[in-house]
Amino acid sequence: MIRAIIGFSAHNRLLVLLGVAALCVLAVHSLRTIRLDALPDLSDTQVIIYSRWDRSPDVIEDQVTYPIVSALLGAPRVKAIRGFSDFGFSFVYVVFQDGTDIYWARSRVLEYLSKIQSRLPGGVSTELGPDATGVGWVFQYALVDHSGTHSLDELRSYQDWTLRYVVQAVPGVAEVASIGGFVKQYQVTVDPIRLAAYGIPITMVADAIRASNSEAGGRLMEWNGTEYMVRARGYGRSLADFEQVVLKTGTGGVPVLLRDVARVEFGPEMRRGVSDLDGLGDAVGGIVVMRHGENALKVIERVTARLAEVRPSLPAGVEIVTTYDRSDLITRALGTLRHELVVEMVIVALVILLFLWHFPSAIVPIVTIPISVLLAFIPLRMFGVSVNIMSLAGIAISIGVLVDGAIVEVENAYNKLHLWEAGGRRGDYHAVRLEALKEVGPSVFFSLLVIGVAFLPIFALVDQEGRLFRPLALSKTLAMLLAALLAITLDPALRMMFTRMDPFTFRPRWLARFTTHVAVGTYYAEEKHPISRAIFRVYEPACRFVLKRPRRVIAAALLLVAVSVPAYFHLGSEFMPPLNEGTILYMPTTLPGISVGEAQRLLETQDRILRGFPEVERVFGKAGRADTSTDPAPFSMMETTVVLRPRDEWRPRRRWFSSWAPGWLRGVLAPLWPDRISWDELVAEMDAALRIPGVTNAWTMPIKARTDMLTTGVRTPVGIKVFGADLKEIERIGAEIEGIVRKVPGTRSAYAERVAGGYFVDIEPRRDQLARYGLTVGQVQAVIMTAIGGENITTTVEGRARYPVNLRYPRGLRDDLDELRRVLVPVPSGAQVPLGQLADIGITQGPAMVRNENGFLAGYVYVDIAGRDVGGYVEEARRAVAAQLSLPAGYVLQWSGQYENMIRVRERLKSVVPITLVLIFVLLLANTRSVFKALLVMLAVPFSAIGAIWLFHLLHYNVSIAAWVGMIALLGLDAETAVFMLLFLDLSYDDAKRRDRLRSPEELDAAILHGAVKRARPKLMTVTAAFMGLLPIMWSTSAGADVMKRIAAPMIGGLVTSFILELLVYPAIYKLWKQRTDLRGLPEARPGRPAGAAPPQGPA
Amino acid sequence: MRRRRSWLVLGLLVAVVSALPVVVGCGRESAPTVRYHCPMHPTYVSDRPGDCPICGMRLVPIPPEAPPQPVPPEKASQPGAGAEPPRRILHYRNPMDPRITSPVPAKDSMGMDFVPVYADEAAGAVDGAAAVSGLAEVAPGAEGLRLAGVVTATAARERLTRTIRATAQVVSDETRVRRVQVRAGGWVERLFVDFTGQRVRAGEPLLSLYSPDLLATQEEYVRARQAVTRFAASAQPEVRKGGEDLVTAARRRLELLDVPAAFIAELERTGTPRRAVTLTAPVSGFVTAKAVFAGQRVEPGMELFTVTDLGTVWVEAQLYESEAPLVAVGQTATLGLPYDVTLVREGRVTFVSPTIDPDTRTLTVRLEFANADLRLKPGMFAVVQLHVDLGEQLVVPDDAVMDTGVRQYVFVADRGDTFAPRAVTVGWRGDGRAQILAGLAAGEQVATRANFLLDSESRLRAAIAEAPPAEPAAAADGAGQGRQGDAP
Repeated sequence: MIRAIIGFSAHNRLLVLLGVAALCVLAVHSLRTIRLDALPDLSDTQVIIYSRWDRSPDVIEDQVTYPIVSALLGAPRVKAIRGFSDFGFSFVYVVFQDGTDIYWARSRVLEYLSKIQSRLPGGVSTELGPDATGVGWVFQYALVDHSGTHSLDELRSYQDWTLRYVVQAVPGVAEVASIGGFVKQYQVTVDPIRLAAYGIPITMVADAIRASNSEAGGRLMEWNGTEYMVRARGYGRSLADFEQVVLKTGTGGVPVLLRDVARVEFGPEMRRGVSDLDGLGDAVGGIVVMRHGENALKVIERVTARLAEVRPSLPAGVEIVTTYDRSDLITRALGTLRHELVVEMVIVALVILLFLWHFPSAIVPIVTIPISVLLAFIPLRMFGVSVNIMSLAGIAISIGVLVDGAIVEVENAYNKLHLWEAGGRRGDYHAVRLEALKEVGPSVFFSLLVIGVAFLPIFALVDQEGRLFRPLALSKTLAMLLAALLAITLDPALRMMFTRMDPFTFRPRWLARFTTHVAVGTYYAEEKHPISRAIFRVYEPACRFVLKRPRRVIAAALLLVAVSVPAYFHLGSEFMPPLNEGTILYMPTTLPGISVGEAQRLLETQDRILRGFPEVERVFGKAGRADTSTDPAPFSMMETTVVLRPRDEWRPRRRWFSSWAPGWLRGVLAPLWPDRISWDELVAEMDAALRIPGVTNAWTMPIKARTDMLTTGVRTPVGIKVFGADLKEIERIGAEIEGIVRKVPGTRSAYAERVAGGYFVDIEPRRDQLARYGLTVGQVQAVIMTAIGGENITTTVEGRARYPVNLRYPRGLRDDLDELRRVLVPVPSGAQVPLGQLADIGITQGPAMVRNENGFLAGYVYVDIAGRDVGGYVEEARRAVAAQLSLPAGYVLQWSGQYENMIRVRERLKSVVPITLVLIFVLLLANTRSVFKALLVMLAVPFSAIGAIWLFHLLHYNVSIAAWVGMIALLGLDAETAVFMLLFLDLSYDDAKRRDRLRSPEELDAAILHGAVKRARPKLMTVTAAFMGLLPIMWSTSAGADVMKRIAAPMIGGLVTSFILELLVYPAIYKLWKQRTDLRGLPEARPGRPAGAAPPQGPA
Repeated sequence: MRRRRSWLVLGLLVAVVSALPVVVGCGRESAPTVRYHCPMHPTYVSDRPGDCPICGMRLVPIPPEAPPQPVPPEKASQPGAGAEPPRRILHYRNPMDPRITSPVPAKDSMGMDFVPVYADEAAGAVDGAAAVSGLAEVAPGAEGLRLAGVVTATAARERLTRTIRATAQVVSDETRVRRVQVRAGGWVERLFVDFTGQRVRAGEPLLSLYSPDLLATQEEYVRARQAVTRFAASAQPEVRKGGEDLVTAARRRLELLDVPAAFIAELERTGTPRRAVTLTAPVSGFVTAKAVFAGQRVEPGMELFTVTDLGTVWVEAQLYESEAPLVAVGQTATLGLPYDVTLVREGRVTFVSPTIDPDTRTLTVRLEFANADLRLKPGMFAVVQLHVDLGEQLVVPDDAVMDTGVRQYVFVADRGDTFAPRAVTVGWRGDGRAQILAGLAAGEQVATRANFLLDSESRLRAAIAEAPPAEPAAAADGAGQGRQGDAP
């Protein structure tokens, strides 16, 4: 069939070429419109329900989070529901199964939420988070006032009510969150003494203010045929409006106004997030959150364009400063990969040209590379995969392999044509060429298919791993499939185009010579070929050496494999190779409970120090939450984005060449001996400069951090969730489980989550006292909420802007416990009684954050295991816990963790890997028609593992899935080179047999030697093409290269070892095999005729 | 020959290759004492690098300079103790769980030795000068202290005055209120002081009154005096005496009717009774009440005017029950007005009410303030700060005390840059100061700023120190590194 296709393509060249050209046009169009991002979006399909209510975590948990979570239980396609209650906020994350449409999921959530909404307490504002995640924080800016005339609350108002809406309207932007500065607020500070003097309870003040700030309408009136709309104005718009709120009328009709008992002024709203620019103090900033699944680059472009439009209309002296811009990373990373792709193509082209020394042949693979890469974008776009580092990496690692088919084909054609020429030009050379193409065509096609099929297990990955590597696997597989298709369609067609065999003889002579070189070329004998001669000189003695002692060589190879196994176990592991984003995210953490003031002081100190580094261009720090549901950070978690200057402006470091080397040479030497301080050194210096007691420093990068924070579940292989009603009890059970599990063999670490303590002032009303005064708990609480809590009682409406109105006691009268006890509570008799007499007031510690999972309070015990089968471990641990732990009623354990995923993945792999192996085997079998040979081909895999493992060791890389991906990619490559190796051995063997030259062991050796050595060039060429193609990746230091290196390293290492071992071991094995089967008894016996067994069917 | 050489080469190759992992491995495990923790979840401690199980962040080495030991209690309880006498061991406790104790040395389930608990430690705990569980000593270094902004203050004995803030009302001094009444009925002829609030001086006329009784008494007096002159010639002493008695009685009646002496003198001089008598102000002050109008008939006993002397005023402060034990007569106090910060008066407590108002549950305390400039007006609301002298006490700045509700502790600067947590018993707090009843000695330095950070660091250190060491078996096994990575 394949031969038929090759034949068809060879005969209908124009058709094939036109078809390919049309596809190329389509591919260019796809490339233009495809989504671009740095990394694939790793987030689950997740809907956030975000509620605000100024209450403590446990109150929020009881009254908001719990009802919402329980209402959502049972919603369709929901994987997990996790609730977090922080001070003032409730987050409920509804995680849907993979592949659920986000908008479908959102409407399901709304549907279920509508049941509960009416049952939530008044004052709770519940909304759905944006259709975005923290990973969507693509752009951040700060407002800087150079004139010094705008206060922070003015800037914040401008940000909140003008700039935010302008940017939010940009297509692709889900939300613009404000951070920092002060939210303007009308603050009514009542004097309790004056209130007492006038006999006005504070609750009455709140009611009066609330009733004095509204607007209504009186419908319509008609006069003279005109209709008038009746408006009843009444929004408070100024301080004076509120000062004149009447509270009551005294004796004699004298009104008591608000200004008589209180001060009305502007002040800052309570802050749950502060920010800082360059250590200079408070700043107002905005975070642009991109919608899920958008083209990040395009969105950022649009945002910056919109900001540029706004610039002229900014308040005088105010400037928008970009504090984070992901487009930079995206363009750089994609630029790096694009650059690598081009370099690879050029190198591969040069390798081919060099090895073939024949331009008409070389042009075929050289053309094949870009076309198959280009065409791959058509299906990629159809599958909705974005162009990102991973998908481009998939293409980059396949480039060296893509051309293999083409190389082998043209090489064979070249060889056959040479033989035809050397043999006196018998017959039609077209037929010879076609025959040559058809001879290796199926092998080529199948080996490329094998490479494609080998990637199947990647598709079995789930969750983050799956989402991360699927684009890579997809792009590589698609590119390979396309290359396979092109190898049997375009390549024959192209090769057949150059039909001429005779040199041109027109004038001028030099032009004729040149044209001849380019269009016809010279056909050298294998022995005379300049490259081949070099190869023969090295390989021939080696091959002879091997053929003399085949058994020992095989044993040595196996030994090599064996010693590599311990080396493998020394490698570390990581989820994802580091992508150097070029921007540092500094995340210091303190214990919970830090106050705003302290957090801000700390933030400023840190930023000032960071700004002091010459490599730093800008520092934008944030403590606490930005005004978005995608940011659940408490004050104890600070995040400082450190934008760095370009690498070449970093502090130089003296190297041995620094003093004398000219600029160009430094460029060459710098990758080997960096002459600038490195990233790690910079971070280490910063870390050393920021050793602040009580603060632990984390250094990460923005995208990585946001991706990490997305995951809310258990990340260890095993997690034990303790569900129950009382957090203290849950913590106690957790600690107990920690102790029990630690003793189970195979436990590497067990860690029960500690409930991080927040500080509470508990005001517990004494009911007997309340009874004495005729008060209800609610009346006392109302006073606590207003006088102490300073609740926002109403909101002004001033044009576009809305500002809260807040009522509370003066600060001095509520800032310590003693003063709190003196807060007056009006009693029905008219007197006012201090709070201390009605309630017990004390400080306690409690959870700063409450987690709710599927309706229960939850505590996690994280367990990491080592050297054991997960399933068996969990069984044993379960038994141990069941035997030693007595659970109180109402508490439930649930075993969870990555092991669920691992088991799921394992289950899938249990079917996928055998299927893959069988598929590969079948493909190999179909190709080689011999079980032994198919097995022999697969032997290349351990050979390649040797090199991969040792290179990882040398480079200090950790094993990650990326490495496995590289290994799998290598597997296909190995199989391919092995197939070719066997193919040429077979061809040579059959040839010798045909000529009856297999009568002695020496002759067998000679035949094998001929197959191995004489045809080493094409094999070396394919390997060199792949190897050299990957090499520039290892040199690269720019953005995105790190990820690539982890994938390329095993391929490079493995390629070398597997190739060397194949070259040396295969002849040995082949010899032994042939001796044992076809030529049984032959070697030691007299030189005689070959045994009668049918020779294995080579693709002859 | 060649064969042997090939074997040699092969063997050498294998040897080199198999030695490699060992060499490389050695390089990695060169610092076995380094421990790692998650920068976001610092209480997760591991003995090898890897990822945090909670958030997946790369673990970072724990900075080694800070001592990872919780503060030895004996250091805290007896700083600078020299040669120690042999200490008596009370019992042994589980290093992991201090609640588990044993009278004899023992090992816990993980094979760790129980640690001895000394008698003096236990005693220290009673003193309140013990280390605080869950906290460790911190040594952030000079630079760290500067970055954190740590400021220290000295615990010192100071005269401590506690201030009680109370709402109060200005009232007139009851001892300086005078009512103006007439003792004889009559009609008001003229009213000199004709509105409430008018200021009067002692002796100033208030009103003139026509009173028939008074007129009659005047007549009587005049007649009596005339009779005396007539009887003066009489030789009979009884008669003379009877006339004088008559005069005395009449004058006495006039005086009893509250006729001013000057009026009587005038009457004596002229001898003609006057129709109207002028009433004068008995004291200087303000007319705080006026119930009389011109021409009005007044009866004896009617209150015509109230004149109040405001030169000194009373201020009645309302104290809540809990503050009652603290006040005593004689304490000084400062009076201020919520709406006028310029007015500040010093005064004294002159009276503490023996009862509590059952309605407001407050105790009335009376203070006296001079009011020569009359700025304190009765009825005014004021804020009184009573200064309660608590005597010489050990105090530290209030900020120094960390309060978790169940326990209070301070960070004591030990030697140089080291800060040790110390449990203290706090007495009264206020005015930015806290009274330390136990746990600190005068002269010791305590941290007053960035306490939160010190506290945070201290907890971390303690948590790290308490983190259990990993199982040795697992530690030797690097295979566990392959997490999910092993799967495909």
